[in-house]
Formats: sequence, C-alpha cells, structure tokens
Amino acid sequence: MSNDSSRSSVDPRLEGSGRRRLPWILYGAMLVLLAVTVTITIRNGTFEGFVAIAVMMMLGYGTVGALIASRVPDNPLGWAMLTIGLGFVLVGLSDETLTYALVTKPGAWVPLLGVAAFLSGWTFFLVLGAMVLVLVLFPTGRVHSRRWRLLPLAIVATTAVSAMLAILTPGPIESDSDVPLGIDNPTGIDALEPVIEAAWVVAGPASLIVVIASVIALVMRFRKAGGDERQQIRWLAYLAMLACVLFAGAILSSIGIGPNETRIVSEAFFLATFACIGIAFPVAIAVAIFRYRLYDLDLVVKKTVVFSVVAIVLTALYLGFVGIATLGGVSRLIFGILVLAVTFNPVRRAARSIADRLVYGRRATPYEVLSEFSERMTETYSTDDVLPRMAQVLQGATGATRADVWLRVGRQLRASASSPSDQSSHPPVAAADDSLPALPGSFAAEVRHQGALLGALTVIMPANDPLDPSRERLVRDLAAQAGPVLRNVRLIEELRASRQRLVAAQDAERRKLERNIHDGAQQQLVALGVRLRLADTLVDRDAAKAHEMLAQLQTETQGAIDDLRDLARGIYPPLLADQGLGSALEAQARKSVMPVEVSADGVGRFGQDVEAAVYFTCLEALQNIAKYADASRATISLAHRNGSLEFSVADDGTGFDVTTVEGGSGLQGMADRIDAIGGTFKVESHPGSGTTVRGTVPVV
Amino acid sequence: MIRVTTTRIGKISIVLSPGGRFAPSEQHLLEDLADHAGLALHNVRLTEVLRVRLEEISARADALRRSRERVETARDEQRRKLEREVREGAHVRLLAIIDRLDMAAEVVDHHPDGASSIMDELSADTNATLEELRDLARGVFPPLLVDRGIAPALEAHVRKEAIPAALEIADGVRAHRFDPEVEAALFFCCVQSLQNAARHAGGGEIAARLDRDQDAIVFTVSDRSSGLDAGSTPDGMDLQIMRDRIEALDGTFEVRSEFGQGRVIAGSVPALMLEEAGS
Repeated sequence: MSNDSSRSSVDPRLEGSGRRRLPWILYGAMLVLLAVTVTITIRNGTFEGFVAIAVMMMLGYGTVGALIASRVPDNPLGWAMLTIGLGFVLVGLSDETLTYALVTKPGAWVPLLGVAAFLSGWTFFLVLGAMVLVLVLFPTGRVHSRRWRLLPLAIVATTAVSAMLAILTPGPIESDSDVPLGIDNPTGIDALEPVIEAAWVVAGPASLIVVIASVIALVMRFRKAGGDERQQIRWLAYLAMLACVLFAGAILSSIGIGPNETRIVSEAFFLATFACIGIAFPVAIAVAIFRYRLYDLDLVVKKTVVFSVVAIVLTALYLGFVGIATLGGVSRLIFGILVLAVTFNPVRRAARSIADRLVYGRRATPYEVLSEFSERMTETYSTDDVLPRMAQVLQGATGATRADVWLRVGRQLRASASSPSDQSSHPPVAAADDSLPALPGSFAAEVRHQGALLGALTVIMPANDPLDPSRERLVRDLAAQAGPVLRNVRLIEELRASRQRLVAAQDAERRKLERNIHDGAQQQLVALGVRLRLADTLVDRDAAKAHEMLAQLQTETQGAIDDLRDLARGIYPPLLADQGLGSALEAQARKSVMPVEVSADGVGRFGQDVEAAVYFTCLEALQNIAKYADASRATISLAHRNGSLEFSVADDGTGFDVTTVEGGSGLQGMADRIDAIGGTFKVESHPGSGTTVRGTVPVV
Repeated sequence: MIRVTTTRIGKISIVLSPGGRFAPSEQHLLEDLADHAGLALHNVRLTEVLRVRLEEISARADALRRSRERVETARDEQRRKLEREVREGAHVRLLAIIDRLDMAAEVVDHHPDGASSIMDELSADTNATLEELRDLARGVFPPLLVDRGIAPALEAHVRKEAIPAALEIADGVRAHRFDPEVEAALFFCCVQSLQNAARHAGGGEIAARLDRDQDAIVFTVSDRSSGLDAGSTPDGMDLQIMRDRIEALDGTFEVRSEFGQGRVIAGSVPALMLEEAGS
C-alpha cells in the first residue's frame, strides 16, 4: 500500500470530470511558480521570516483549496482558497521579479518588468478579498443567513474598487522589503491623483468595516451552528477573533511612529497577525476537514496529505539544496543530492503515519484497539449499553461506514446494535444450524462461546478503503473477545423474557379462572336463588309441586358442588398435595377418552414447586394431545434417577415440525415453567411419527 | 516508569553491578521497553477487570433466575390457597344448602305454614354463597379490572374491603386503558400494598397515588406506620413478589421506610395506552 500512494493519489481524481482536474493543475502551477519565486528571493537576498511564513501560507491555502475544489467543485470556498494561494504567489513573484530586475541585477529580464509591475499593484487585494470571502463562506460556500447575503457582494465590491484604485494610483511602486525600486506604477494616472487619494480615504475604512463585518458573520454562524457544524467552525471562528485582536494590537502599537521608523512590538504584532491568518486559518480548515469529516473528505485526504507533506518537504529540501548550492562547490551539490536520497523514504513513512493519525485519530495499532475494546467493555455491564458500545468500537477500529453486532435469538440472527446508531437495522437472517449464514457487509466474523454460535460482527467498508488482512484479523480478535459478553447478554435477555412470559401466563390463567367461576358456579347459584323464590311462592299454593321443586334443587345443588369440586381440582388437585405425582397423574389419565398409561416406577414425593410444575406440564401436554395429536394412545413416564426427576409424555399421533412452531400451543409456557425451577425441557416430534415431551428437574 | 497514556502502572528496576553505568543508548532501550510493557500490562489488567465484570453479569443472571423461580412458586402458592378457599368456603356452604333443602322438603310436606321461615333462610344462604363466590372470583381477577380498567377496579376494591385509604388517581391514568398485564400488575401491587399498610399501619393515614409520567405509570402507596425496617416484617415475602412482578414488566420498584416516619412503596411501570376504540 505504501508503494503506490503517489500513483493512487492521482487516479481517483482523474476519474472525475475535468473540473476536478483543474484545481490540481492550478495547484501544480502554483507550486512551480512558488519554487521560482523562492529561488529569486534567495537570489535577492531578501529571504527572511516573513517570507517563510508566506511560503507556508501559500502551500496551506493552496493545498486545502485544491482539495476542497476538486472534491466539491460547486463550493466557491475551495476556489477562493486556491485563489489566495495562487494570488499570493503572484504577489511574491511580481515583487521579487521587480526587485531582481531593478536592484539585484539591473537590466535583467526587462521584458518582464511591465507585467511584474502591473501585477504587483493589485494582486495583493485579490488575496485579501479572497481571504475575507473565505471567512464568510466557510464551510458551506454560502452565507449562513439571508440577512448577510449582501456581505459577499460588499466584499467583492470593495476588493474590485481597491484593486482598481491600486492599478490607477500613480507614484513609485513600493517593495515589501523596503528596498527602493525606483519605478513608477505603469498604469498610474497622475491627473486623477487627488480623486484617487480621496477614494482611498473612503475605500480604506470601508474595507476595514467589511473585514470586521465578515468576522462578525463568522462568529454569528458559529454561535448559531449546532452539532458537527459547530465543531467544524469552532477553530476558524476563534482564530478569526484572535487575528482581529492581534491586528488591533499591531495598529495600536504603531500609533505615533514615523514613516521610516519601526517598532519591534508592532512588527511582532504584524508578524503574529500574518502567521495567524496565513498558517493558522488553513490549518483550522484542515482540522475541520480531517477531524470532523467536512465534505466527507476522509480517505482520499490521507493519500493527498502524504503527497502534500512529501511535496512540502521536498520543496524545503530543494530550497536547502539551492541554498547550499549557491554557496558554491560541487561537493556541496553532491551532499545535497545524497541528503535528498537518504531522507526521502523516512520522510515518506513519517508523513504516512502522521496522515494516519490525523485521519484515523487514535486508531493506531490493533493492539491498542483491542485494549480500548476491553476498556470499553469493562466500563459498562448494563446490557442495554454493551452491544451499542461494541458496535462503536468495531466501527472506529476498522474505519467502516457501518458496523453491526448480530445476536442469535432462537433460530435467527438479529442485528441487535449498529454504529452509527441512526441507521435502519438489517432484517433478521435465518440461522438454522450452528454455522454462520451469509450476512450483509464486506466482512463478517462469527462470535462463538464454548463452541456454540452466539452471533456475529459485520462491517461495511467504504469502496476506496477495503479491509486488509491485518484489519480482518482485528475484527476476528474482537469477535473472540466478544464471546463471553454476548453469552451473558443473551442469557440475561432470555431470562427476562422468560420471566415476563410467566407473569403473563399467570394473569391469563387467573382471568380464565375467574370466567370459569362466573360462568359455572356463580351462574348456577343465581339460578338456584331464582328457583328457590319460585318454590317459596308455590309452597302456599301447591305444596306437592313445591316439594318436587325442592327435590330438583337438591340435585342441581349437588351438580354445582361437583362442578366446584372439579374447578378446585383444576386449580390444584388435592390428590397431588396428598399423594403425589403418580396418583394425581393416574387420576387424570383415567379421565381421558383415549387410553393413557402412567408408569411412575415408585417415584416418591418431592418439593411442592417441583411436583406442581411437573404435574401441570404433563397435564398441559395431555390436553395438547387431546386437542391436536389425533392419537390412539399416550404414555406418561416418571423416573427418579441420578438426583433428577425425569418425566416424559409421549403419543403416537400425527406429530409436527418442531422448527416451525414457536410457542402458541403452550410449549413455550411449559419450557418456561420447567426452566424456572432449574430444569431442562425438550420437545421431540416428526410429522407422522408422534410427539414426545421430555424434561428433567434437579431434585435434592 | 511504565506508563499507559499518563497513568503510572508499574516500574522496571535494574540493579547494576557495582561501578556499572548506564549508557544513554541502554537508557533509551529501557524506556522503549517500558513503553511496550505498558500496553501489555494494561491489557492484562483490563482482562482481569473484564473477568470481574463478567462475574457481575453472571451474578445478575443468577438474580434473574431466582426472581423467575419466585414468580413461578408464587403462582403455585396462590393456586393452593385458592383451592383451599373454595373447598373450605363455598363448597362447605353448598353442602349445608343441600341439607337444608332436604329439611325444607319435609317441612313443606308436613307444616306448609312453617315453611316460609326455612325458605327465607335458604335464600339467605344461597345469597351468601353467591357473594362468597363473587368475592373469590374478584380476588382471583376482578371483572371490573377487565371491563373498565384500574381506576374503577381499585376504587371498588377499597370501598368493598373498607380500607381506610385515600385514593388519588390522575386523569392520565383514569381516562385510558393500558396493556392488560400492566393493569393487572399495577392493580394487584396496589391491592397488596394497601393490604399490608392496613395490617400494620395501626390506624394511621394510608394514601395511594397513580400518575402518568410520559410512557410510564407511577404508583405510590404510603402509610404512617411505625416504619419498621421493610425486610424484617412479615411483608417481606409479599414485597419480594411484588418486586418480581413489576420488574418482570421492566418496571422499577422500591420500598422506602424510616423508623417513625412510615413507609412508602413506590415504583413505575412502562405503559403504553391502548387505542380507545372498542375498549
């Protein structure tokens, strides 16, 4: 991967339209002009701190501008920044050319003088205007509220006016390095001098107002922004305010200086302002891009950053080389070449790791990621938190656009957590046997614990950054660590669900019971009451009939008693409490229409909850057989073996497909009940070959 | 010094032979070693902490298991109790009714005039039995709860059992129906709490409140009892059962009691309203 970074940094952009290529062409031109400018500057002997900052500024604005312009060509911000870079190069180039042609080596490059002189006047204002525009347009490329929509126009207007005035101002051209050039502005118009002077008096403060307004606009945008955008703008806003403060300091500290004096403090302030605007601003924008994913620039940036850093270092080395070379000597030349050759690869690696750090943040080594994973897992054991956190770490560790944690529930794999969390979740995937089914995503690692499949981790990678073997291994390692965690999460979820089902089953039972009592015994008693009153009236009129009625009522009351007794037995058979499982089940068996054989094998007495659970489970199994199985016979067996009570209810009926039935027929309720007392429960059935319900319960 | 980020987690000490010195390169080597060791040791420590956490999760799983077991056991207990109530209550009365019918038939034959008093007694018996069965059924699951919801059921219960409690039910609870499980849990929880409070409040004020709080119903039952520690009273088992039931519905349940200040049973249950139409 490290060998083709310089090649691949060009390819993605070539795939785009010509518009995407243009910024980089301009950038290349800028670099070339920059190199030329620096060479001339060195020749002029005017290379100083100010110039170094200027170089960094041009590179900063130019690189970031080209990046943004190529990525989002519709956003004027990128082009504005490119303009700053290019513009400033032109300022420097024109200025240094003038110096060279007029001072250092008078008489050289005369044909270029005119162009250089022309450019040197107004390109500075272009740069200034573009910089102010950047402040106002960052990051969306438009003003943030309608109230400010005139501001960009104001900026362009003041820039244009200032540039025009600069072009037309007569008089000598001044060089930045205070070396008198001895040339007048070729486009200056002497006749208009008073007008132009007056215009400057207006244009100057007007520009200042526009600049201040722009800073205010930026700060307002920051204050109104929320979430990510706030973070993106934050640094630039702070730096803009800082630059204002520094500039104010520079102005204040230069009050009262004559035209040829300088004061160290005010110089320092100016330099600081310049450094802030020139270096800190593009860095702030770069931070917004890398750290906060502005314009979705992430992966592509990494390789470009490599490229840029290498370019910068090479340029610096070239400058050093030139510097050394100008001192003369072939040996120095050779030395310079050797230094270049030797430092290239380490510089490239260093640049890559810096780029990695910038882009991926703390995602440094797999070992550190695993460590972070453990750390995250230990911070929480709330089951609601664990899975989302796992997904977050997985996404952060691999740089995926989406990471999912799948949990096995029943015979399905469900996407229980994903990062980012606002995505819609994948539909469940069937997982019939114990092997991992196909899951959506670029890569899946199964999570197992003690051999059983508990779930899976999946990631979806962006197209330009697929998983490499080391990251695949990382995902697998994470999956290995996730085993115990998933097991416990599942366990707790299952227990909670089971408990809830039991409570629901209880409530359902009670409602049914209440209905039974109402519809049965209660109704009968109501009828009894009515008939009694009737008999009462008959006593006087027809004693014989009354007698008959009373006799009938006796029978009916006996019927009510029998029903009530059955009801009570249904609630909890006295036989079970008095004589145990064997007798109680035999009594039920006798009531059944089809033959039911009970082999209790001398099984004794157990705790109340065990006997109740087993009794009602077997009872429900019998009821199921009567309802669904269409069987000719059934067998209930009980055995006390190895510290457990084993029971089974088998029939020779139609059977069913166990994989399709999920609760509903009460199987889930039976499982919950047996589970709740610490036992195991199993249903064996095949269509056409009967059903056996089986369980074991630990008994002391 | 072995550090991970900036936390010191250990130290590597080297003892040099007398007169020995540490070359700068060796010092660098040691510092590098400490850096790498930091991460490795950090991982070991984290693994240990992870193990402890997993144990905590297991403990939580065990607690859940026990809670579930209690739910099941409570169910069986209640069944037994109900069966006993039927057998010793309505059943016995009905047997008595049959005897009396027998007697009535004879009286009608021989002394038709004296029959009316025995007939009246029979009616009274029948009504009493009916009432008892109705009470039984209500204790199992009040029809009013099914038909009209918590508020009417709770108010009827308080009235019928003459519990000296002030009942405050917010409109947000009264005006809607909720999931039957939630209504049942809340109802039985309040009933049980009121019963407990009446038992040991010693005539003090008892108050019960039901409120809506976004998607949950909040309940509070308070009394001015002597405020014995919740665990030591015979209510302990009842409270545990209530807690299990409420927690089974993902609700919260707590008992606050201070000596001399009375006791408050409070909690909340997530409850979504049912559609009004048809209920």
